Amino acid sequence: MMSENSGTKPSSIGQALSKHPVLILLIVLIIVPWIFQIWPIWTDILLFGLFAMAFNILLGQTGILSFGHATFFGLGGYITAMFLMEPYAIPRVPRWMGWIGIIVGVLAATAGAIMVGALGLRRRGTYFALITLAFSQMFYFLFFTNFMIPTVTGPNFTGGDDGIIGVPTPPILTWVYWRTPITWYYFVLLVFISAIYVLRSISTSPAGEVLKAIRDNEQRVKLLGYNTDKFKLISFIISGLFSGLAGSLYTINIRFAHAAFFSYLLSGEVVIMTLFGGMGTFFGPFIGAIVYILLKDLVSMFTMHWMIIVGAIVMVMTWLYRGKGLLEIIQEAVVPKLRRIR
Amino acid sequence: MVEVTLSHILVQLLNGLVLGMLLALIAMGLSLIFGLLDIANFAHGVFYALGAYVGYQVIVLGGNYWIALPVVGIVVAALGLVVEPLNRRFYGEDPAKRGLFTLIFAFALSLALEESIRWTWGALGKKFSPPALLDFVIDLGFFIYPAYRLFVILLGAILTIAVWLFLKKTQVGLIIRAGLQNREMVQVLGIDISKVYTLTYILGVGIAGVAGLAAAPLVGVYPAMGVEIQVPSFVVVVVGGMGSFLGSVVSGIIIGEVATLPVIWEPRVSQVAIYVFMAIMLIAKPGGLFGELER
Repeated sequence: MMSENSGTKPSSIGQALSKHPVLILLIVLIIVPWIFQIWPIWTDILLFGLFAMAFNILLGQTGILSFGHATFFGLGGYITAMFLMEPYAIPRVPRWMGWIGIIVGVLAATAGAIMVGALGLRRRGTYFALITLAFSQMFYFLFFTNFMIPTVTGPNFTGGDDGIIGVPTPPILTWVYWRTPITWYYFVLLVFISAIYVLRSISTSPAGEVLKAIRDNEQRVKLLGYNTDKFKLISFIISGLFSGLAGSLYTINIRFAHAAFFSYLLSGEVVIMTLFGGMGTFFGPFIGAIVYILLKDLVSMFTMHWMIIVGAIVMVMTWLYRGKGLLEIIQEAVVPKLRRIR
Repeated sequence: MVEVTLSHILVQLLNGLVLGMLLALIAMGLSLIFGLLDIANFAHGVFYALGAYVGYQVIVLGGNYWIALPVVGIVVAALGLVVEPLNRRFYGEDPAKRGLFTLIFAFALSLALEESIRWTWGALGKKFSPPALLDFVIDLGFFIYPAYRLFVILLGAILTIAVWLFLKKTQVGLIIRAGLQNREMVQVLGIDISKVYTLTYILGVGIAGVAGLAAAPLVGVYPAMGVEIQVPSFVVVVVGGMGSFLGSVVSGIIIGEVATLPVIWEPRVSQVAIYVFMAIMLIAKPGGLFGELER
């Protein structure tokens, strides 16, 4: 995936980059925002980047397309929001332990992934993609129409079409008003890097290699004796878990939760981000997230019909590159030149 | 709680049939396109919406509903003629990747087209009245019911039978059915399958366009109508089995009823009901009602 050893001299830049990508990424993300100080956008990039990279464990690594991944982002986000709003916090926890809300959100997303995965993976490929889409719609309507347990916590359980407004940011121990755009960015960065580190460890582990094998030739993997259904489900669950983490932080980010977290548009956006950056690498989707978010913001300054342009770009990219994204294109162009730098 | 009477139930039963017919019309195209071309046509919903908008435009330009019907069918089919060759790019892929890319491509197309609709006609919906000829109610004994809705059921039935006859009785229909079973064999027999592909695609989307026009007096004409019917129609083909004509029709009607009948007791359930039903079907009959064609 990254450049391989090219001789006895260990001085190639490509090599250094490939040994500790997470560390390099961390350093870059600590420094670069000071150049373009658009902190809220950088935070968005981190969160959607995490979402996209988690999504790609399923798509790029295991070869399974899910068209309803917003389900897990939404479950993480919405359940966390519900937990953090006073009337719903069950049981009541001290303010500084509010971060449990994130754990609760992630657990909800994981439970959702288990359910959708167990039901959906019974059918193949395209069917599965549509089933995941259908489930995301189910959750959308569940949360939108307030149709849950109306008597337990009062009639307005999920906030309905207004959503949940004013999601608080839990204090860090005793420091209540710690949040500013800059401190919040670094906090998210901390969680992001930890999550990416774990995700990458899973991705490059032997189990991760099995997933890649399943993507390339599932039949053969089965013949080798692996229970591919189990591996696919685990891949799905891991993907859903980290998507839920992204959603969970996102609701605190925008202080708001809404059924739109489950929208098919969001599911589609994460597919687009992954495609832009490239399914074939771990970090590709992160690049894709950066490109997509910046592109969307840029184009919408000129026209409200930016979706036509984005849609057209995706069509062209799918047409021309079929899954290869920016990161791979850059790698293929740049890395051979780096090797010549001794 | 409103007292539930027989006439309530009968009205909703008919409403469900109306929705079911629309879903069946869309699903049969989706199903054939997936079965034969291996494309999960995400753009099907937007062709439905385009059908409604083209119909609206025909009326704005001075025509009437009856002229609009065939015009919509032709125009939307023509649009399909432009789009279908684009999918050929992905035919060379291995089957797993092909499904993926055609889905993403169709999705991006649907986004771009829906936004184009917003650009051309505006984001607000348009009002669309039923044709004057049918703008009355019929007394069916137990209750009164709008004549236009009965017409939609009739139109759906006619189109369904027409497609069925086409598949069963014509040469081309035979080729399509053969292709659904075994694509390679049809090509080996020397038949130019790409023409059949194109025909199936434009037929499928053309019918969806007409369905959109039929739906216009019922739900209005608005940009999001495409995506609103898209996911339920996917549920229909998942439940009915892709590539199965009968499956899509029967499943369409069932899903139409599943979405409409619960309204009698709890209106908010209707949106969620079809997904719960799908989940149950996935457990009970994972292969789809009529079996899926394994690829």
